Amino acid sequence: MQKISPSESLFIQQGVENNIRSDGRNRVDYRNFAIETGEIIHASGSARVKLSQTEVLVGVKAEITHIQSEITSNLQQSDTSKRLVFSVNCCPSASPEFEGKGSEFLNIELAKQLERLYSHPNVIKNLKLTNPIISNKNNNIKNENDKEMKTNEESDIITNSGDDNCFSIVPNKYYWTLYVDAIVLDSDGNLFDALSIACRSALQNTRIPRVKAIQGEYEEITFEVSDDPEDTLSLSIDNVPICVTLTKIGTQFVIDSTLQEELCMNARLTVGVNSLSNICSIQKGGIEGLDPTTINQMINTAKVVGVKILNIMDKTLKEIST
Amino acid sequence: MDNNNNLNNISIEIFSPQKRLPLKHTSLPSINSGNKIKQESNLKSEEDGDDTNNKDMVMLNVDEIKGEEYDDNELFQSKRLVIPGQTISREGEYLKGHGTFNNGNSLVASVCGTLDKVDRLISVKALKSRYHGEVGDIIVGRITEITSKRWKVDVNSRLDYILMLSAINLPGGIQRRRTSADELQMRSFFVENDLVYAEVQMVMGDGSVAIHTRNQKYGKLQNGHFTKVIPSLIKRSKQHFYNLECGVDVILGINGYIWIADSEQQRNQQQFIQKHEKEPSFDPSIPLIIPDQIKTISKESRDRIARVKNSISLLEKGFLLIHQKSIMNVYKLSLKMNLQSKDLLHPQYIKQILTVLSTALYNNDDDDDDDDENGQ
Repeated sequence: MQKISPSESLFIQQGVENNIRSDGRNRVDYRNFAIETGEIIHASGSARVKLSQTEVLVGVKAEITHIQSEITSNLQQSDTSKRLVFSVNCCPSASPEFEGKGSEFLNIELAKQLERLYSHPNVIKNLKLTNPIISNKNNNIKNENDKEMKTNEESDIITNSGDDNCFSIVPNKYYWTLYVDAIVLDSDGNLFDALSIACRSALQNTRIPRVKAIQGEYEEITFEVSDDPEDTLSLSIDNVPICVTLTKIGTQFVIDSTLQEELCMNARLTVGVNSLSNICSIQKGGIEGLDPTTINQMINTAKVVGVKILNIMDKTLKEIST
Repeated sequence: MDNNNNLNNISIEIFSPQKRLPLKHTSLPSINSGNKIKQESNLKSEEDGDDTNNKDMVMLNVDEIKGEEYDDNELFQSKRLVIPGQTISREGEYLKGHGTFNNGNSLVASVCGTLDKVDRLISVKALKSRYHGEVGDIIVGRITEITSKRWKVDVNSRLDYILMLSAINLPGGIQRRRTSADELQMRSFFVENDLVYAEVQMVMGDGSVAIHTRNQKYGKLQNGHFTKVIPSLIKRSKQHFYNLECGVDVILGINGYIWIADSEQQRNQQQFIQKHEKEPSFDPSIPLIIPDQIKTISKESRDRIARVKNSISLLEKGFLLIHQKSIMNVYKLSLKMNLQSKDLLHPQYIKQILTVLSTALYNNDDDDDDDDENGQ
């Protein structure tokens, strides 16, 4: 594990006060980063983000979940936020301290952070399947011509407006669940931001196969997956937030802290921001307290930085996918 | 509030590398004479940043070598780079050393690195490995633990090196005897996480290594920046402490640990410590507190330190040797290109500078060794 001596910590602290950090950035400079999407072929969606040495890989897997008892757990289980399951794993390759159970706490912290970021109902409601198709109609495929099928299907598309949940296949029974699994391959600080950016990119990259639910004779439901591998649904990530972490060192705060800077931080505020510059989550870390004026300043900075990153991100993601 | 003014100037760029090309087994006619050129191009691979071509080259190389007769001279005249799985020789011809194994009838490399041949023993020295100490190496380490009469020091090696109490210069006189009182106040000399500048003294039979700081120039490092690179990139030379012409002190530890500090501040600090130790009221048991005015570093110096730091990390990214001259090359180049120190983190500029360096490399290569003498 990287350690830091008091004199190095003082050097960094003074640098932050002087508005010139040890790598020449000023307090509100963000490192340039790289995004790659669709690296994992067998996942529904994936993305890799490299922020300096920090490297995270995120895979999304879509699975169909059957909700058994409609009455008792309907409210919770069909809730959109429960349709995203996050897990984070810090590799021992990132730091020897992550070996064995060493990364357990950090894994949970990071996963919970992501979960909270996506927990607000409005955030999730906007994460719609762009082309939702819910068809529980009995089909006689054999008798029908392919072309007719297509036209039929199109007319069958039920827009999401009436439904509360974009992930439902059969309302109150079958839902898509997205398992978002992240691996931290290397760490050079600012894991929160890198993870949230990677998750957002992976969700943008996610393609869910078109599934038709067919009502059998005895109320049993079978699924029919479209033959065409191109015939998929994608998610709209317009309102998916990312987080911006602000680290307070000495009397000032910085964004996008390096590992060394994180070792001498006093406190940390992670702010979730979406493209409308709404605050989606706030989490404070670190041992020291923050005074209200600093918090306000931090939030304002986070908003500006977050929106900026989101704009550039959307542009880049569009470029990659075309 | 000044944060808000700066906010408009934030520039964040995202780079998405082009999709990697899959490895291809190209079936080009094998040209024996072209072999050497290809090996050279392997060595240069990182400099060029031209990955796609290179992968094909490597594969090609392996294919060719398999069907080839091994010529001793050609193999070992230059330090040859091998990749894991590459056949080195037939079985029985050489003894297998570290980084090699027998596979069928041939000796195969298990790591990526340079071939090392001692008599009939062949080993592959990995390019990216942990540091392995040799007597006389100048290193930078970090104290991890204090035990009786010794410190344990992390030096990026497989195990922590040992710094004995008897192997340090106690403050206030080199000739001073070590008493049991000194043993009780070891924390007043070095505490955990302190950085030390030291030299390898001895490699013991059981593999543990002792280091010492018994020289005026060695000792604790304070008020500067620490960074770390791959050990094999540090060039072994007579000295590893440099006063760069830009007013920055750099210690390039052979173990890949690098210390960067401001020359003027370090000089003042040194003077202060020496003056303090000469005072009659000097008591080694009281840890010295350096006043703030000596610790402060001007903004300009900080920018220079940052530029040196980024130059070093740029060299590491390009997998180029790190020494005084190469650092200054990048430093000057960045000034010539009118770049801010933080711009050296920008992938585009990194590529530009690396291209310039790799093309200029051949012209400057000859006078590479002279500069070791003018360092201090």
